[in-house]
Amino acid sequence: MRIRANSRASTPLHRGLTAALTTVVATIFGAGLSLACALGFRGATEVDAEYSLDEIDAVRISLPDTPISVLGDPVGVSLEVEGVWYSVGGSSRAAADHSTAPSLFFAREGRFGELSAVIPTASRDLVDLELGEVRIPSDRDLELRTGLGDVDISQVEGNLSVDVDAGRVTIFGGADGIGVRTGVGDIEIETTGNTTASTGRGDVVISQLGAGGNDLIISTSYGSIDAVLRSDSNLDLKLEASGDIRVQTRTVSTVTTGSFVRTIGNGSVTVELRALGGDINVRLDESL
Amino acid sequence: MIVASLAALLCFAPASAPASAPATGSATAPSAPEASDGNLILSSSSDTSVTVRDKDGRIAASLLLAGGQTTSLTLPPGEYSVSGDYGSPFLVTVAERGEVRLDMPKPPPVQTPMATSPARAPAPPASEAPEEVRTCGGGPCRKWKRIAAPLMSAALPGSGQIVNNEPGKGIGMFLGTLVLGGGAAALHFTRDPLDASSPGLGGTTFGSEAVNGAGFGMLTGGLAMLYAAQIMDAYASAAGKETPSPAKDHRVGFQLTRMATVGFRAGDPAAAFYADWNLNFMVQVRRRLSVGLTDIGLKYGVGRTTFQTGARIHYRFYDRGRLWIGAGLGTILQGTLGRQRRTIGEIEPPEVQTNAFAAIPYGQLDLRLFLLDRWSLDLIPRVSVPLGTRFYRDELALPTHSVTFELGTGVGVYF
Repeated sequence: MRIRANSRASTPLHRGLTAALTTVVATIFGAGLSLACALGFRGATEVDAEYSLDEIDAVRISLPDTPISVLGDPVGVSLEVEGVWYSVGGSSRAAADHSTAPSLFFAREGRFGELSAVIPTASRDLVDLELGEVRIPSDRDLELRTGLGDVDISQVEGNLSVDVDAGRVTIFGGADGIGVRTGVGDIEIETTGNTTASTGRGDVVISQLGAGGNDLIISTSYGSIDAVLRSDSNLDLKLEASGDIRVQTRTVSTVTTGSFVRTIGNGSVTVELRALGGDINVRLDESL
Repeated sequence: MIVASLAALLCFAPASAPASAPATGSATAPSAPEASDGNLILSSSSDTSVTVRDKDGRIAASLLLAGGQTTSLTLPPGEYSVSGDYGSPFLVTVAERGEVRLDMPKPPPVQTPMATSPARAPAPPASEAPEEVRTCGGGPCRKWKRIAAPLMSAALPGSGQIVNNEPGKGIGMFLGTLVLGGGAAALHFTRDPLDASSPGLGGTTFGSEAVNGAGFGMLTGGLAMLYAAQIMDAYASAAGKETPSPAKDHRVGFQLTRMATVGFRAGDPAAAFYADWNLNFMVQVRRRLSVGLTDIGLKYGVGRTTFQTGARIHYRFYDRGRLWIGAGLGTILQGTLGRQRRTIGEIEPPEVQTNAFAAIPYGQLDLRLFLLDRWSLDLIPRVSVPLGTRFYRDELALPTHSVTFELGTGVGVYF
């Protein structure tokens, strides 16, 4: 009779083999964890472009994620752009090729112009544009769109429109009016124009310039609002906050919570502030 | 009651029985029978020892029952557990002046005669008769647990183990899941989205972002493995399966895998966590050798859609116990349909290539740990070199010729 031996018992050889295998597995696991990476090179190509804005009143800048800094030029007649295309590649040559693949394109339709980027699909997620300073005539309207990046606009007195998914927005100017939306990021505005601004998460600091009298419609879902007014006559105040509301002007002085509504004079200047996750502070410019 | 039980043991010991035959005889309760007592009548077609316990687990009677004989026990009314040498214990209820008959189970047929001696081993003394009560996990086997335990573990990690009367293991699984999930969530949600919004960073944040990505990858990979493992473990315990027998002769195998790496990006953030979820379908064409359609996946990015599939040949060179180790060679094929953003005006923008294609050859090691006969946890270190841009989800891609070390984690099932 043939008896089949069942050798499940641990022999020294079996134990040694098991220990060796455990070591191998642990080594591969550790190496895999530490070596899980992609290797390659970086490339960069500078971009410097100028587009005439003759017979163009409004310009839209619609670019991939990049911080944008725009400076208004009182004597300028063109849109000037400078920056760098950064890229990655498996070799230095491939990285260089990717950085030269994209291009900027300026399109016109009537008195409206648009600056955009044209990138081959194979390079689209391998390049990144970082703009330096953008110059534009001060009197032109400007519309900015980007996904991720801080936006800084100075000395542009036309109508300003800014739409950012994540980034801080700072504006000095915008006499013809301002519209700002950022998903995440603080907003700081000093302007003589009517302003509508909102942020999903961030604080807002808004200051009227000149004689004041411009409407302010501001909201933040999680943050505080600090508004500095140049005039407190003819105000239509509508304030709503989850935290404290402080109003300190010549005609109104209060500290409260929840909401505060007050009409002063003929109420022709709308100041509507909503801070659902913070405080509201309204005061007059101390220099007055 | 303890005294009564001891008395019963002494009372039914085969002191006067002939040595050549198992002891038999009628039994009575140790104390004087009362009018309300009932009778438990035991019979057996083969020799067996019988132990009768009350509902508190104390021995009420113990005796040896000869094959073909019947004996009667007079017991106070109540519930009793009756166990013999074979089969599971019986639960009987003796009513007042009632009578319960119980036929003890026969021994199972012997499959492989290992002993040729006609001599029969003597029956153990009644007081040492072992009880063969099969347990699953930390409690008795129940069929419903085979479904309920893994389902509960899928809904709440560790709860299936608690159903299986393994509270320590269950709490450990739950805490492990909580720590790994909490760590991954903390890394994901505490990251400031504005970190990379500032101009002039120039990729200087690579180090911290690479560490962040690697940490996130390890935590989520560990979490996925632990989650799958505790579901499999819940079933294995409920089914009383301590050591699986992996299905070496399976015909087909499916794997759900996440291949992951940390790679660089242009601009900021300078590094990112790249994850490629895919399905694999393998056929075992010869013993240990499999081929199949692999790395099947769909990835959406900004202005593009990428479909990928591939082929792989795999050889299993070690498969002892619950561990399999193999190696594979394959190629991923990616096709991408891109969309160019429309511009205003009549002047067309410069023509660019909107579609893309890439082949990604790779070699991999394949470690599979079986917790059930047909289910495995997989750990797959892989090295690949994309020929063309390799796209991932969202805005992530790796460039051509970029040597990539990946670590895959996943689950496999075999039929």
